[in-house]
Amino acid sequence: MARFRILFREFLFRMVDLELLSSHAQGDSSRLLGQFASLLLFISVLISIPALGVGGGQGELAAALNLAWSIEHFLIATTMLLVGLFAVLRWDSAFPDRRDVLVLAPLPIRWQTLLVAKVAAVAAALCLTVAVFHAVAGLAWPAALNAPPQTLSVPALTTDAARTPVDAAGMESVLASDLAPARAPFAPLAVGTGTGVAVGVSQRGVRRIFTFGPARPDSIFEIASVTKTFTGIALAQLVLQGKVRLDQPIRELLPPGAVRKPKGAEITLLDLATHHSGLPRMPANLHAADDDNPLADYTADDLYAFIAGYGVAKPPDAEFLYSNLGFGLLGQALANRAGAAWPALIKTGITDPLGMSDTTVALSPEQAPRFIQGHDAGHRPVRGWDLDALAGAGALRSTAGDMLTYLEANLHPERLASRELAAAIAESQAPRAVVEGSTRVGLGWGYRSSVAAFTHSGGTGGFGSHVAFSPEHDYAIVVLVNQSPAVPLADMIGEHIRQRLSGEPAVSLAFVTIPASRGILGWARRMFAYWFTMLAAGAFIFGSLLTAQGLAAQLLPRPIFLRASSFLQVAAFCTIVGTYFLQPMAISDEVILAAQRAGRLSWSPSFWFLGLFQQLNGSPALAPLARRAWAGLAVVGCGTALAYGLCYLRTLRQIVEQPEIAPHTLGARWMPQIGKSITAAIIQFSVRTLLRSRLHRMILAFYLGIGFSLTILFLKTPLAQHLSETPAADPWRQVSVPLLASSILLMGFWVMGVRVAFSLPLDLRANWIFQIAAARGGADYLAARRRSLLLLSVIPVWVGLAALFLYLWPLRAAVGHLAILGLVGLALAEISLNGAQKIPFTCAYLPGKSNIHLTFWILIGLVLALVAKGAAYERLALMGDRAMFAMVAGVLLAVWAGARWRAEWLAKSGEGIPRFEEEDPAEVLTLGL
Amino acid sequence: MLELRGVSKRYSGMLAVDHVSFVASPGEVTGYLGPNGSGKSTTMKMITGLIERSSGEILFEGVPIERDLSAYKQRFGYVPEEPHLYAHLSGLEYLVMVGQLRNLPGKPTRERIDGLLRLLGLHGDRYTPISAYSKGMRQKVLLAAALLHDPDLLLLDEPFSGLDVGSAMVLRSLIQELAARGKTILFSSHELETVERVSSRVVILHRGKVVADDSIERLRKLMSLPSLEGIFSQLAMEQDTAALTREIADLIRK
Repeated sequence: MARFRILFREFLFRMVDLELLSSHAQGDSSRLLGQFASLLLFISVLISIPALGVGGGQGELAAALNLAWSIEHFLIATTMLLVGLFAVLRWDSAFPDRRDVLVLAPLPIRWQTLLVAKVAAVAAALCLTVAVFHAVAGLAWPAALNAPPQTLSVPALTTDAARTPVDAAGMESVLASDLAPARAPFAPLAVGTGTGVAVGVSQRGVRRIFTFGPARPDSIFEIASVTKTFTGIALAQLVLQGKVRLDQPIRELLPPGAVRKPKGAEITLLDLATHHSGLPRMPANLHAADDDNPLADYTADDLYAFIAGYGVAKPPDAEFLYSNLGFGLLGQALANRAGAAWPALIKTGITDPLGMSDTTVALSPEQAPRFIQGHDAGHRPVRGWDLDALAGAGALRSTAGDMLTYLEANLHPERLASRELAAAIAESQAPRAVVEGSTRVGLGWGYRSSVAAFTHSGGTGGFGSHVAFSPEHDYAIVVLVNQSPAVPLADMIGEHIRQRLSGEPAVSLAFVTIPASRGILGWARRMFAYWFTMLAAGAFIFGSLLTAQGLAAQLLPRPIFLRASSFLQVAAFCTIVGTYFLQPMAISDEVILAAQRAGRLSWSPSFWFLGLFQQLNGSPALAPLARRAWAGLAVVGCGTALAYGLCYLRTLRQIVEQPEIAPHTLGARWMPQIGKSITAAIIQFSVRTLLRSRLHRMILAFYLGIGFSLTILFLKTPLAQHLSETPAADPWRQVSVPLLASSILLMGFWVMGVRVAFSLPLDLRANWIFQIAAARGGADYLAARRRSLLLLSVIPVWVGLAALFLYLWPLRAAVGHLAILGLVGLALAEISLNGAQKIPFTCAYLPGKSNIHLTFWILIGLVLALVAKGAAYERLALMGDRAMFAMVAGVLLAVWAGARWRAEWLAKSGEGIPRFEEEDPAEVLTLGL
Repeated sequence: MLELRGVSKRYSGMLAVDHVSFVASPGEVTGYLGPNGSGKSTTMKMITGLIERSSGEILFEGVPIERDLSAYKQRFGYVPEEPHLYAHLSGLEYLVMVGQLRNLPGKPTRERIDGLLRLLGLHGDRYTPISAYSKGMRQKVLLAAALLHDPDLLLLDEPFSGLDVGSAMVLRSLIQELAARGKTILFSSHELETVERVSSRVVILHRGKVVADDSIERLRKLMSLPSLEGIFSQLAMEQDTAALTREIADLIRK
């Protein structure tokens, strides 16, 4: 036992590498460990701060749940990233190595003790990392992430198997079967809840209306925001009649003097119809007298008063922001111009010509009894909503039949008798602006190009609606539900029908019931679930790496494994960092659906452990993911046990007999001589060290990983949409801010990565050869460092990007950007060379230096903003603004020249003597005798 | 000629090397002896300029070495006590790098390196990383690196460490041959027999101070002792060897 304890302590201690430390680091391992722990604690505090704001939040059910899942997933994924990086960096300490065996084999220690001590040290290192990282977060978040105080029913977000495409005629029976889980006790359509569904499906001329629950085919529902598509068609009609223009400022359609003309761009009718006006979702002066009917007393005067105060200036960077206020204002403005009330405008312009007699704002005495009772998320009956000034945003009521008629008119406007209405409908559909990703928006209609369908959804206090049609696939779908869209039933059913029509795997209509969690027992359970999940996630990632490393060691001959090991290490690193940054961080229903389906996201372990967290909390939600987590843990557990077992049975005994490195009998070791003799020596030494030292490659890979991740952030996320002024079908061929910024970032991170790698010594004790070598002044050393840095960072990135941009872009733009990029690289390299003269890979490293890196990471947001701004200027320059090009190039040249002059000056001054220690040696040192 | 005049090295008040003075002349092999911790390697490192001395003067050919340290560094070859080399380089790459660092002309140096590798029996392993070399092979690389630029002064700190018998014999002869060709050679070793055979003069260090500096012959006569081992144990050993041996044997028996 004593032997085990000693070995355990030794192995655990070895998980932190001390060989890099300067002999003057003084605090040695405890200082480094202290810094490591402080950094983790700092992050832990940082990620706990938002917990203060989340506690007790009981917003809309779906949104609250998604927020909680997003936070939980973030914590799990970050834990896995951290443990994964730790495991990768301590790659060589995980298994007994030659040193362990050679030192310990002559001692009376059994192999079992050695191996068990190693495994225990690895496990302890894992637990300590997770424990310190969650020291604060692990107390704050379980308390903040309130489990529901009452039983909740939420969509299971799983996928039903694909089946042959179902046609409109067969949809009712299929849906009846698929909807069965939603009618189970506690589910939204359970018997006795009063919730019903009316569905209309039309496909290639075949139309069917059918209902479930209390709904009848002639039941009248509030269609809520689907009304906006009617307002959009009304706008198109007035445009075609020449009464308004799409680019007309909204101010001109309001009563004279209602709002002042702003300086600069004004909100136009098109901005309102595409939700790009910058106006908020709802007006701020909404003070409902009756909370159950909150928009009934919001009059045109209230609307004008708000607009008078808010103004009609269009923000220069207005992006998609869904606005009921905007559409309400548009409806009001159109009514003003047409000289009729909004309901009359719709009736004469759209519903009457289409024969939609049951589509109206005010119900007739005949229609009133058919108006179905609405319900809130808790199945309590609620009153219908009446809209006055905001009518254009959601006042209409309709039946499934009428809405199907409306959708058929949208599907085939060419078949309408009224040419004017047909033209207006076609005009309203044309996509005009970006919503997000591949989704565009027309005059009200959203267009999902991924499924080639126009869609809109709606919801009021007691109703949910979903409409969709696809001219390409010739179908139309309407789903009306008399329950609040807090449970997204209408959208789920609508999407399900679309998928059944096309024969795709369909989103399941099953629901799961999350039990209530209260009191001290509930808290204790959450605490246990949190810590168990985090430890399990950490163990999974650590175990996966151990398995991969251990099995590779068994399958490959040892000398080959030793060489392949570093590549495996880099691959593991890239996979961990790449997975972390590439997977979605904001959890939505779509993300969970994708994770639970057999796609790319379903292979992301952080989602599995999100499922495990729910399961341990007693929630049946995400159960398929939880099953994968258990399976993953089992596989990795077995793999790790197998790896250690084989290590015990085979490697420990063979390790002494086999040479660590196979002799090289062949090989040309030629490298060109660049510059003077001494310069060439340092350059060749730098290149060989970076190519052959695993540690330094890892450091560079770390920076490159971050660089690539940020590149992806710029290129693939909504940020890219935001930065791209003209979203194009092929964004790679556009001279866009994201591409410019990405290439600059890549250059920056590469230079920085190589510079940081240079600063970490390879073998301090071997430096004597540089110290006794003859050299005068620092010019030779500076030249060597400069050329090494350029050779290993600026030149390879520049050449790679040159090939890419010359292939993708027009010659002029590509050459212009490459010139700028070259100057950026030169300037960055020159800035990196400032400071004391140090031969790459030879100077001792002081732990205190990590403060600089910490500062850098804190300032990363600022760096990104600066790069994006700089790229925006560069884009202007490349688009033909010669003055801007001269200015950008001039600034970079000045920075480069200034940094170069300073570096040369330092090299000629007293700083020219190479330094091998960060600080001057203290008086007390090892005697070195 | 290498001359040390009152050279001292002080670490936080403690004198590691205490006013050491001696002269190593061309054509002569000077043995530098002393027990562990007596200050031999510290003196060697001060002579190479790797560490700064606290006081005293080091002159080479009558000129203080600081006057033109770069020029002085071109004149000596050094084999350190421990074979610390950049293990990721091959033996050939390491020697090429040393040649470049010493500003030697490319092609002749390459030929010289090839010759040295062949003569030292490393040619077959010239592409193998040094990490795979045995201690003796590393020692040979150090020796080749020290001889590469045909130095006038050779500073050899435990040069026989790890060498096999054959290589040690070659090195012994080589040291004598180089001395005969007018090189100044200062070498320290714990192998007194070798020192006795190779050196004409010895400097014996004890607790940082020079306790003897003379030819072995004169020391023998002066101290009336037949061997260098006897002289050494009398001058530099504080304990009676036989008594110490008995004490250790008794201790481990308990």
